[in-house]
Amino acid sequence: MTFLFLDLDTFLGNFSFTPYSNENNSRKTYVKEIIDKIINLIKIFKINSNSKIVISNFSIPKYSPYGIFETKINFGYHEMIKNLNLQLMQQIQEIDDVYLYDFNQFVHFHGEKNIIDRHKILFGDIKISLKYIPHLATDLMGYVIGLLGLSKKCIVLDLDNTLWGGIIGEDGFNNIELGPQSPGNAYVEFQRYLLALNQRGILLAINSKNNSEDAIKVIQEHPYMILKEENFSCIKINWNDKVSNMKEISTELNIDLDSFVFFDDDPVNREFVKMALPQVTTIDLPQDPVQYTTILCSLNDFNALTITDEDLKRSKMYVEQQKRIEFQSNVLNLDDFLKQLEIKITIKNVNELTIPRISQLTLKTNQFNLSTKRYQEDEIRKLAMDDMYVVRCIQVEDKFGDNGITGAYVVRKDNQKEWTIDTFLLSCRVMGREVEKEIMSNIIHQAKREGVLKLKSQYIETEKNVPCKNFLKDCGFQKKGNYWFFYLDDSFKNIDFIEVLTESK
Amino acid sequence: MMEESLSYFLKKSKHSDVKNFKKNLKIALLSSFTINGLAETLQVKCNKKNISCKTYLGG
Repeated sequence: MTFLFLDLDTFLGNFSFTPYSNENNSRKTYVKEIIDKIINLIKIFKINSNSKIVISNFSIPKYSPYGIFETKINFGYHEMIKNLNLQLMQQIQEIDDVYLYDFNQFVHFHGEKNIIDRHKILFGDIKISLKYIPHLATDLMGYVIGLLGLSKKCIVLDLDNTLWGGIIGEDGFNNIELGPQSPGNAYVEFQRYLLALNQRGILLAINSKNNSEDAIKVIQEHPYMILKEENFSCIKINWNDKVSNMKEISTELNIDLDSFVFFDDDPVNREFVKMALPQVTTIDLPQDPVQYTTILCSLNDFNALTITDEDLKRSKMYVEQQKRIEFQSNVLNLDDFLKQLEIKITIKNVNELTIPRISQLTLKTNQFNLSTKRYQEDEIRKLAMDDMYVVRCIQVEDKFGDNGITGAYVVRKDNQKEWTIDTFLLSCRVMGREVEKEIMSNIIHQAKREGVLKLKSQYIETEKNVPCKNFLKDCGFQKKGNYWFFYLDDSFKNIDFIEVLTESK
Repeated sequence: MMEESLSYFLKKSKHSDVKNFKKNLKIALLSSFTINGLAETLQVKCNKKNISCKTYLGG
């Protein structure tokens, strides 16, 4: 990953000190010239490197030699930089693997007078005060988290003094602090920010020591409760300890504990979770609830370089998953359950709509992932365009809803007689429904149609991909050395209760 | 959120724990001005997230 920091003085020279020495048309010309230079630089860089690039934009200074008259000038200096930033953002939106870092917002957030230290600038060309270098690094870590697929997936919340003020069991429904006036409005605000994160795909869960009936009544009936029951993918309101609840939430959602962020006002509970489950990011909440939103907004753990349709629907999908679990508990055996689920899978082609999701799946899927190869969007695009590869993704639907694109595979055509399964993965959301076998069946049938004699695959063991350890064996593959082979004159039994649709090319 | 000082990161970067990191990353920092300390800070922040990070500074 490459971070590129450019400052305006470098491009403008003395013009940045005397911007009004030229007509406004000259300033427009300057903007175009700068944009052309930067885009040209990006293009040359991309030819020579596979690295993702993050380019900073330019901070808009408070000062103008025209003072308060600055805003009355057509395409004045400030407007010129705003326009430059806007054009830079628009152009970068069209280029893969290039991202904009909003340095102007960084300066705005921390304050120009804090970031700019004239002594340091004049003595050492240090244009960001050393005190704020760690803050800058924190911002940049957002891109690292996004690139490596390390973003957190779920926020686990306590209730009393976290989502509302007071203790419901003691203060009662009418006396908890939650409403338009202070201090209750701090909790309303916190919930609004949580809701926004939930709507972009971050799951919410409750881990609270409480009388369940009292707490659920607040969630269902309190007029100022922003978060509703359907926003929570898992609810644990009981008298069990927080660590046990946390583990159960992890199991039920099928999400690793290292993808959790935990909010609890009680320092004892937090310490217990920190000690027992250090992989959970436990937030040290201050006593003042006004700070909750600030702390939530300052976390860069939810960053992603791409937000897909599946992300936006994730919360709804997990609620549907809870319905499946309830349904399963009412059905006598697994076979009956799977048959009654009315599963339908669609084998989809790779296109500009599906590439971000396929890349995201390769970056994030750990459990059912035979090779755990990680592919960036550009790499998926190249594989899809290569005739030597078959790249597909799989949408899974059932009677409870659409799970979205939850599977993908990459097959390399080594020669006319032998293909290798490079990547085969399935999201944990749809594991255990025989979907994986039907996908394998699809690969086998395509290989047969094209006259291939054998399929080669590999199970590369990691800490997390135990769930697919026996998959190749169960599918009839035979192990020889480090590889597993399937001979296409062998039969492969289709899963008769899964309907399969295949998109035509 | 409280942020550690730059001197903390500079010290920490010299005594980085050698362990089996789960992820590897190379970061290049290219800048038209001086950004001393950013590479070291990123390295420490990456290590805290179990990422092995090699940084390259240019400009």
